[in-house]
Amino acid sequence: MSTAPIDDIKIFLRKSIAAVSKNDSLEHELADSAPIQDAGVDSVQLINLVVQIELRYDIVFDDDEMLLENFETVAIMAQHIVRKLGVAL
Amino acid sequence: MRQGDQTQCMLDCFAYLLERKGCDSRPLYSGVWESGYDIDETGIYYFSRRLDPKGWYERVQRLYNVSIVYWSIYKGGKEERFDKFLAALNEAPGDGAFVLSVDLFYFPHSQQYRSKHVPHLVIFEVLPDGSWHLTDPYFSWAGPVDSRTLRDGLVNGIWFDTGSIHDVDTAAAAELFRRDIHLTPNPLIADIERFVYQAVGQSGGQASSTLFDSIQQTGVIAKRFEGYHIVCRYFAESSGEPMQTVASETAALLKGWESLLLTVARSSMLNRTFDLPAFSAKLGTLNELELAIRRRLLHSFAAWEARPQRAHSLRS
Repeated sequence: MSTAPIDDIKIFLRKSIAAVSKNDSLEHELADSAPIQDAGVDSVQLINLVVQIELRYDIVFDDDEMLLENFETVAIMAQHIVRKLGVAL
Repeated sequence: MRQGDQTQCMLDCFAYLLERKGCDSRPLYSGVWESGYDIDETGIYYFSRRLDPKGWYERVQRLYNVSIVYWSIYKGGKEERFDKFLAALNEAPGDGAFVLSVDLFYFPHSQQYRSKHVPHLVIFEVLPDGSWHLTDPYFSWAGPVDSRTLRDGLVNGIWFDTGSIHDVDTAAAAELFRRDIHLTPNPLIADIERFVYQAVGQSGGQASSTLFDSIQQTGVIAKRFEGYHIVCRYFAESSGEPMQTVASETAALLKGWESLLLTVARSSMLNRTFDLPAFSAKLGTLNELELAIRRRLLHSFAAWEARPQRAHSLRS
């Protein structure tokens, strides 16, 4: 199990969001609380991101967790990953 | 009155214009939960030229005495359509607005701007200073539009004539609701189940990489279920009935569809073996939830019908 601290998770998320959306600037400019769909991430790119998160951290989001609200911002995603990893912050 | 949730872009435009005239738009949403979609061997689509909106035009006429005037029906190229629009603009009577079918690919306020061709409906008006103005109730946006954008993105349009508008005819609203509501499954359930079973069967039991593309627009169709909440709010407020349960159940129904589609999308992206029985079980749960909402809606309607008769009088 990974023990990545939340800041590392956020760095990974921003990098991945920039990659899936093909918008390099998001890696440095996307705020923790900014809705990623407002930054131009569409539903297909979002699913691509979810898959990358699952592979990177060896976690699986339950079907009931597959809701847009759970992947709305970097901060929300990072909290979900942390909770699944059971990381103490 | 209605409050800005995304339901169906054409009805959201109509509702915006109705409410601006002081009308209660909520009865217009009756039946939106089973409004048309198109399905063929390639996918399920919320918009298609095979879908005829005339039934909704007749409703808005019957409920509010709003006339719908066509000025173009998909004929011609961009220039010809735009010229027709300009002619219609010059001939437009004073009281009303244009509701335009556009391609969001050309509209900067859209997330699909320059990335994806998406059919959509917006309201067009000329402001007193002569400037051109768009209102997009579905995406809660309003702002100026230039002729170049409209020339590129315009597909079709109607004139929404509010010259003789009145508030909702409650007798017509009741009759239409009785026609719209029933306790049999929404056809969307069987259609998506049949489509997915066929697609997975053809891919050797896997969710192919194209499966999500094929059913992605079901997410837009599912947003129409917000109509249950809107119509229930109308009946409940008029009759004093509680309606929190329908609000929470409608929210659960919308989330259920969202979760279902994102789960399919994930399987599709990973080319995973697809769990068809689990998919059917989820659809079964969504069906039960939707039928429970319909039963509650019928209950609210019965209470609304039983309200004191004086409440039946029309507002003017």
